[in-house]
Amino acid sequence: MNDASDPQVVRSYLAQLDSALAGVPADVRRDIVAGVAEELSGLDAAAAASRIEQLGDPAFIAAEARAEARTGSGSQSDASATTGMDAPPATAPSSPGPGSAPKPPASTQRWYVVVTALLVDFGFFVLPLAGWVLGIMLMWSSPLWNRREKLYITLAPAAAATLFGLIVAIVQFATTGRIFTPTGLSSWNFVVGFGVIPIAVAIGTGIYLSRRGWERTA
Amino acid sequence: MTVDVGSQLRKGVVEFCILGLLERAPLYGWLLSDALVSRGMIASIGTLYPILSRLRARGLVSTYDQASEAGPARKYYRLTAEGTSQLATFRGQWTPFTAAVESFIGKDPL
Repeated sequence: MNDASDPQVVRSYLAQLDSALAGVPADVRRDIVAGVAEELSGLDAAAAASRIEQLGDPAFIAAEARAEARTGSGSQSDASATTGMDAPPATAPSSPGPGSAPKPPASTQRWYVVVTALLVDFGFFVLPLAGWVLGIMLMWSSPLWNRREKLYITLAPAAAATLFGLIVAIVQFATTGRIFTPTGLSSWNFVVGFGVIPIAVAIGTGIYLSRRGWERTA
Repeated sequence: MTVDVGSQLRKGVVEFCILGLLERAPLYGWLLSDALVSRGMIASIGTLYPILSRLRARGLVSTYDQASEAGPARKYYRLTAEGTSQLATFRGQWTPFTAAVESFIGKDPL
């Protein structure tokens, strides 16, 4: 499965994926790693890196697999009742209860989603900047969100402030012929550009973050 | 906390979307994942395999290995007779179901 002739990036990714899938039912874990290995096999390093980028963070894939396996074990009895078939033994290890299923990490729990979302949403008001930064650090430490979402949520407030600054500069240039005027930024511009807009965007991204995290821990 | 209706809807129908894809042709995991992820039906390949495992355990899909032009043999998934029957049953219920829901909620005025 992990062929020595594959590029290092492939071998490293497959090893990370297999490790991240600890606790996922054995047959599902095997199928995921084998399916990804099939796809990456025979690719050169650049093509493999591109495919890996598409696949995403191993920890995110594992969190999705864990959540889906939990959902499946919960709904299996319904499906069995409908089809008259027995529940498959393959999903039994993931059934909730006092069995030997490993405890999922804290960063995949619902309380973690709530704490992270509250800090991203309102951290600014509790500890200016530091509260929000703490929320962002918690988000980056969890596999519940993929890399693209993490980047978007991290950069959105600064991007919105920058966009506002550009618009102000363009308007200023259009009206005065200069980007920087002696009057510079008005206090109103300053409050909106560096206060209201980043905070409003942070709250919006916090809501998005909580919804994505919540559904993945369902 | 607002319920994510889209997520709940997707969970309810994704198994049948997979059966529908496999009815057209046997597919291997990556192709299935790509088709479903690109249309927002699943978040990643990690969601796909537990569902495939359930479908296989319930006898709705089966697998076989087929050599690829480059690289190792791939595991293909195909619909079984039971899967075809379940898909037909779902199709029979889906159209009247969506029509009934639409009669309650109406169409988007936009």
